[in-house]
Amino acid sequence: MLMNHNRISHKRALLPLVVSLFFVILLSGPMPSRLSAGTGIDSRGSRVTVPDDDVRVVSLSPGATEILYAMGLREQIAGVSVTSDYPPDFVKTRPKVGGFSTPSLEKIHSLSPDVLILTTVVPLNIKQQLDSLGIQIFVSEPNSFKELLGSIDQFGRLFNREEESAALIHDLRNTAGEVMEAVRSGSIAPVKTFIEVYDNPLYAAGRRTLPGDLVAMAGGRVVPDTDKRYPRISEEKLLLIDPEAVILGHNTDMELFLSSHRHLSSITAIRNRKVFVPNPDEFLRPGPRVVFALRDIARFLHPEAFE
Amino acid sequence: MKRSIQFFLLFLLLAVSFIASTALGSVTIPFGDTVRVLLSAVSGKAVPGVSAMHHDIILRIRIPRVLLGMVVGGGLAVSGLVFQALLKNPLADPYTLGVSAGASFGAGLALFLSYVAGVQFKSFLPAFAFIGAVSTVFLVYFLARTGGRVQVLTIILSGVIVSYLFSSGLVLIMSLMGDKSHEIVFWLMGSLAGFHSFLLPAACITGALSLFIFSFYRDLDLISLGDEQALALGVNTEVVRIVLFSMTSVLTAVSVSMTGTIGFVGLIIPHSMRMVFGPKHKTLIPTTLAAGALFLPLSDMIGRVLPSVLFGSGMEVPVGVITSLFGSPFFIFLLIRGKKRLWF
Amino acid sequence: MKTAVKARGLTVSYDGCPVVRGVSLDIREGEFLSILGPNGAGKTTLVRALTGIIKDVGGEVLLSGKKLHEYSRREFARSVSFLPQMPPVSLPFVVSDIVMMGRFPYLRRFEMEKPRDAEIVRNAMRLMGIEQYAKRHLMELSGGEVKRVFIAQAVAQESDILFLDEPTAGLDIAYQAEIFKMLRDFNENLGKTIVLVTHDINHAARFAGRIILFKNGSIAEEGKPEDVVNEDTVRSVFSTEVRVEYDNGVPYVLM
Repeated sequence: MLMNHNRISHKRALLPLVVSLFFVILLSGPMPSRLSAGTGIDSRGSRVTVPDDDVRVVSLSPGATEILYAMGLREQIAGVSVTSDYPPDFVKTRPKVGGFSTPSLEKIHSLSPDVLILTTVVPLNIKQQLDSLGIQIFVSEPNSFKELLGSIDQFGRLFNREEESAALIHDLRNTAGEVMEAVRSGSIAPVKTFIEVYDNPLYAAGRRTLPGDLVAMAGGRVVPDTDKRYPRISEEKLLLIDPEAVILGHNTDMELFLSSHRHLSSITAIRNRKVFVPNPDEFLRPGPRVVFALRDIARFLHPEAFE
Repeated sequence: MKRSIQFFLLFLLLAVSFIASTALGSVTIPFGDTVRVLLSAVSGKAVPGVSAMHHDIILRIRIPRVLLGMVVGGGLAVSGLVFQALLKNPLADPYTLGVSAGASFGAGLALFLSYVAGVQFKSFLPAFAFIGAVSTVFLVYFLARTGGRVQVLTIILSGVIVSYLFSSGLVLIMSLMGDKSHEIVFWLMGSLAGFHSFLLPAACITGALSLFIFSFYRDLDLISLGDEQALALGVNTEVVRIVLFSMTSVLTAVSVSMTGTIGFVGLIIPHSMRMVFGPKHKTLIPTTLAAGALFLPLSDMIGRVLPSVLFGSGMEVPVGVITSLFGSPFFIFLLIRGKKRLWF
Repeated sequence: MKTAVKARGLTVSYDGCPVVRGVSLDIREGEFLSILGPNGAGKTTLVRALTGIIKDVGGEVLLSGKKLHEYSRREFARSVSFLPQMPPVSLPFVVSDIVMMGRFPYLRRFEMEKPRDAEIVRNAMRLMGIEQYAKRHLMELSGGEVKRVFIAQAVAQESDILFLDEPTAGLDIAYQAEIFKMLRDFNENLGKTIVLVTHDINHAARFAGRIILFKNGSIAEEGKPEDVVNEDTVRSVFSTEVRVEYDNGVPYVLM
């Protein structure tokens, strides 16, 4: 009699057991990526996926470093390039892996990153080596303010910090918007602006670059008018173009510029000394601080709008 | 061909080079305008009918550039000639004693310091390059001097070693500068562009040194007989070498500090002139000076105009590339044709 | 123009090895002196030191009573010529240019060649029988002709003293005799002092007025050919057995 009872209770206990087991199996199996890993799309259009927990990222892009920091990543940033210098106190604590064109692959590998962030497409042999080491590359190369915001958005998806990235984007949009509003309200014509990224030989930034876009947003009309990103230009052509303002995007200052461009002194911008050197870390770096450069350039180009 | 006709042709080419380099550029200016601006250049006032901008392009961009090319081209050519004579080596050029390596190192140092210590170092770049250039010569001479005498072979070897030393120094600087090292690369390519406040003094120095070197034309002729025989005939070979090496090194250093290292001019021009005008330095020195002065601006003009026409506006090829591109086949042509009349 | 070269205690060392050991000798004006000796004896070095081509020497050399280093190179070259053994052959210059180089000691920096210089050059070329080669390149000439070009250069130099280092080395017999005869001519008719370093004992004995036998950096024998050249001296200086015959009192050596 007792044996019969036991057999029946075993059968009854089995069902909940099986059901619980089922749920345990269900919950421990491979999960949809939304919950345990993030996916982002980089500038090449490549899809990159990294785990959420204990994600390790190495950033060879100073701009990306700043973005990630602004999004709240700290110890997840396992290593940075030596050129990442902001915020200084934070960056000091991060291991260094070399420059962005001279990274130490050994060092990078020793940090076991899930992803490596770069600002430019790498040479093939480096990429092959990274592939063989199993390191993913995320190329972040925004060529406009909009692309920069898009970059931030993708970082948010990649590292599962979509709230933070949305907030950052919102802030930047607002600040930029304020500046552009001020410029527009002054209803002044755009200033013909030349962005010099190198002087000997003469290289310009076109409007299809981040610096060019910032200048356009700040109320400048970027010359030379070309689709090329960083065209070379002859001094004669520059005289012909005759910009009203010059913005310097390389290692120089006002005095040096004026003394080395004396033979071009008939250019309106030089005659009127309408030359500005924005902080290169804000102007040339695709990071959150571009809005400061934007504001400074707008103030330079349209001072009357900011009285 | 009569000698006088040859001289005339050389002078003609010089004039053509000057005019062509002034008339052509990435901005098209009607030839008549160019001529009128040139003719009125003395007064410096704008010529009616020519836009102020064209005026500026010709007088403030092209003419200084052409003049720089003439000064540097002539200086490098004469330096090359003298080095070939003193070292009795047809492959010698103004950079044989390590001058270019020293100048490049100096320039690299200035650029490095501009990043590390402050932008103002950039404005001292020509001075750094000059000091670097001249230092190598002293170093080479010091190294080659054994027991109060200097052998030609020892000088060449010392030059090679010192070149390596400074080149590695430069590469070190470039690796330290990392991403910013493109600035040095640009300088190394050599260029006639930019503003040079030192142009007029440099022209005077080049002229003075060339004249001084010219006064040694007989000594240079005799040195080709061999040191012993030159000494026996009354040439103070030791003194002549020291003086001429110093002068040509200063001449080269002045050029290189303004334009970066432009190669080939110092090598092909002397040889070409030797093939046309013979071996006597009384003729060679002035003709080499003139040929260098016409060759460089012409090469620069080609580098400014041709790529622009072929590949789109603004594109310019560094003058050092043009001199090598045109120099190499021309040199091969000379070798093949003039074998028996060439030196060794 | 009476000049003489005097050496006192002349010493030359290479890397600490003495090549010329304390040599003292007098070269008299108008004499024809020949310096003979085995290879490595130091003959060429001696001559180089006497002509100031090597400067790092011990002892002193005097020209006309004045010390060598007190002369400027140009000044010295007006009195003394030196023809090295190997003249350069692959020179791009033409013969008349090379002979004109002999006028260097007389021309100042920016001074042009004068008609007199051109005449001297012409005469020198005529004397050496190379006038017809005036516009030719050295490379086109034979060994003997090349030698004559450089002798013409020395003639154009109008020096009183000619030092020659093995002028007949590598020349065929016709030229050898010719060169010696020419030098005797310079000596007897033009009054030039000739100092000749040579291996050619027989021609030296025949033409020279005085012979110096040089061995191991020192003068072994010195005097008239008939006194200096004999079987014993040759054996001791050249370390070889020879037979010496005489032709009209002039010794000649048979190997």
